[in-house]
Amino acid sequence: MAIKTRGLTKFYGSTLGVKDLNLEVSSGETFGFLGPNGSGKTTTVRLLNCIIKPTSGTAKVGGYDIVSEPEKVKRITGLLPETPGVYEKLSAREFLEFIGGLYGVPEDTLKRRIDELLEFFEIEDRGDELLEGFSKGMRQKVLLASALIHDPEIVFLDEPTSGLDPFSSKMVKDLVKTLSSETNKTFFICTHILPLAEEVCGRIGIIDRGELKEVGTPEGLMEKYGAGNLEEVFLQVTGRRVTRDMLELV
Amino acid sequence: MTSGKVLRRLRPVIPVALISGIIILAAVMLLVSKNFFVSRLNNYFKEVVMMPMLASTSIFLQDSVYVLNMGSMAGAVAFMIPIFAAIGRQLQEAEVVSRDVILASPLKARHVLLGDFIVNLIIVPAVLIIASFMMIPAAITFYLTPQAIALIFASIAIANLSGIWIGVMISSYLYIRETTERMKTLFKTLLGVAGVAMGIGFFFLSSSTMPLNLWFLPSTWVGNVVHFAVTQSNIAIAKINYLYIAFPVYPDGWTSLALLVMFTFLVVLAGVAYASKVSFIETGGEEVTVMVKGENWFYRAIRKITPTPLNIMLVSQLKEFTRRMDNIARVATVLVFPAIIFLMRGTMQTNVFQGDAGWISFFSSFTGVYIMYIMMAGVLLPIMIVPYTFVRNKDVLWTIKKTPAGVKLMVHAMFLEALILSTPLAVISAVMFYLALGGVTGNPATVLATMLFLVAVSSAITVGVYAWRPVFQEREIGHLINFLITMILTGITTGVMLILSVVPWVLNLIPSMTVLNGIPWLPPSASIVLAFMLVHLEPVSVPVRIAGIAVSLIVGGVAAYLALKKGVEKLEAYE
Repeated sequence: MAIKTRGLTKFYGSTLGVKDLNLEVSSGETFGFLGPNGSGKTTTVRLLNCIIKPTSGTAKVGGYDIVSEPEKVKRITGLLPETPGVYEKLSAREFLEFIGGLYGVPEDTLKRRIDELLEFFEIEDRGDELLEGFSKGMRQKVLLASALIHDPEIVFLDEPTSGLDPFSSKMVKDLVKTLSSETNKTFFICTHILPLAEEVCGRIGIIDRGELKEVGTPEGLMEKYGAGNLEEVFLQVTGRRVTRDMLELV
Repeated sequence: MTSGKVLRRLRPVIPVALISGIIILAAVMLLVSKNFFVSRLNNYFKEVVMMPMLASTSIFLQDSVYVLNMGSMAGAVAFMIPIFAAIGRQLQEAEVVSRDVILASPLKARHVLLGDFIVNLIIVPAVLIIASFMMIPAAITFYLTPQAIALIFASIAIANLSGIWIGVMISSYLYIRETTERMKTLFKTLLGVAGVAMGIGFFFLSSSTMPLNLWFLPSTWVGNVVHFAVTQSNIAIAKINYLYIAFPVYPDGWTSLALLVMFTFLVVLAGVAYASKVSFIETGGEEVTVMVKGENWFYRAIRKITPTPLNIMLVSQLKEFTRRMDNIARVATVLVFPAIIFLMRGTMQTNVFQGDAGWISFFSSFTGVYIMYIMMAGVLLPIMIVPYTFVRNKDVLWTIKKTPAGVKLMVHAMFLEALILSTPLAVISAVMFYLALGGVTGNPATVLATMLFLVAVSSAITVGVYAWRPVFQEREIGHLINFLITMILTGITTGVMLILSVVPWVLNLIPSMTVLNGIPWLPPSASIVLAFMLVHLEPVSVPVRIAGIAVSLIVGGVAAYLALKKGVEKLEAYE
């Protein structure tokens, strides 16, 4: 089991982040975590990456406890954050060296891996440019590379196609498909872009207002809700719908 | 996603607080004026406690240079603050987006400028509050009528209005010209230098016995109006070594007020003419691509000297800091402080410290200034650097927190970075000060070593405070709070260290001066000479000195260790 949570709960003061989350993700699985903005997706990812501590409950990632063994968890996981946080005055290559160094990747391996990743993301000719000059999509590519720099077992992608052009979005989808089929990596993808989840995820969970509402395969959920696509399932589960009154307001 | 949400209406707290502040301070100025209880207290002391001769002298002659100098300083603050704020705001590019939205509307440029001016009027009460604090000593010493307070506030407000209008013009000019990075750095450096110069000016003017005679400056006109309002006279009185010297204030109060009004009127006219011609359509983007070419010897050396992975974090942090031109400008600004002291030395010698005991006074004053400078340098160098070594936004912090031991590495790297950046500044400052004051400073090697240790301790404390209370955006109020916390903690720690180690004889100053101040029948020069001799002749045994240094090192070491340890713990728990 790659990820296992039991009653995972997080409050920020009196504000609820996630409540009583019980979730299991198997090794090698590509799991989609869907939810509207502010539903608790990013909180869950931060908890599972030991960036923040839970208020109550437990979770194991790669067999390690997120509270008592945070360093071990961090070493086997990679994270693409929702909003890119980079050192803007470093070049793409320097940033990857920096992150790889912090994960303890040996120097020789690190140099080879940086070259491979820059080439894969087709930014090898801009590797020595400062990140401050990169567009959002380009930064996203560098951050994706940094999430994979230490060859983690479990990869968390928080809104991976946000800000990317259609070509780059397809590249991310292909990357996830290729890595999940050719390696035994586990992908935990947070998104509200439903076609992405439908296309690459074997199983999905829908979270709303901090609570996990549904878990299952896309097909299974569509069948359960009598829906033609994942969007309809999502709207039914979260209870949101666009009404004619709302359209008239615009 | 919330539960137990508390709803609160947004209230206009700031304007209300500012206006209330002015009213309260005006009332305080009136209350502390001589015509109320302070006069009774003063008279009691003069008649009952002090010698009749001194009391009678003080009644008729009152040193009014402080009023002139503080009035000028308040004028300078009123005039310069809005200009600083306007330029700073434009250089930060904080409001470009919102201005684009405004420019997309059918408003004309002059409306936008007028809007900027009106918004900036909130500075007026803030400046009046600052000025009121500067004027309270004058209110205690002199009789202040409500009319006098009104005149003081009016002159400062007029200077402030012209400053705001000029600030708005400069801000719009910088926006239109789409200043280059190099220009921005130059402006930021100039702002920093001006800020430091104003700070030092305030420090010296507040204790100066002679006014600056710069009649052509609007700030001087404000000073003259304030002096007239406070003393109801155009004759200023300076007290130098128990001698009272009277001299005319030039230009006199009413002429100064007229000049101030005329100046403001001309500024407004020029601004209106500019606003009718200005257009914002010239703005355009400047795209610059910066390529990185390998690492220089400095980074390679750091990588070799420090252990992995600390070296990786340290080098990246240093690159992030040193590649920002505004940081380099800030670092350069630090060196302005000793340079200005160096330049002011000549003026101080001739203008301020005159009379028989002039050299002694000069000597002891600069010893005091020097001690204070070491402390200030020890405290201020890290404070001026550390905030800019901290990660610039929360997202970067999350990236660091995601890595194993990332937070601990970052805090330790920040400490080393502050040390690396502060050390050359401390050395240069110490050398410049030594050149300025020569033998007063004592053994330069000892002083330098002390200063470096103080810098190390205060670096650790400042880093600890920032790890304890992270502040991400450059213009957040949190920086001010961190600054105050750091000043208190570092001031106490370095103060104790300094007294214990370098200048234990400084403790002798307190009893000596207190005793001598109570002996008024000695000739003035004799009392100062005697104080100086007592202070220096007081023996300090070698074991005491060694013990003082040892305890000082322990105090500093423990403070630094605790600051970093607690900082790491708090930042690791930061959400």
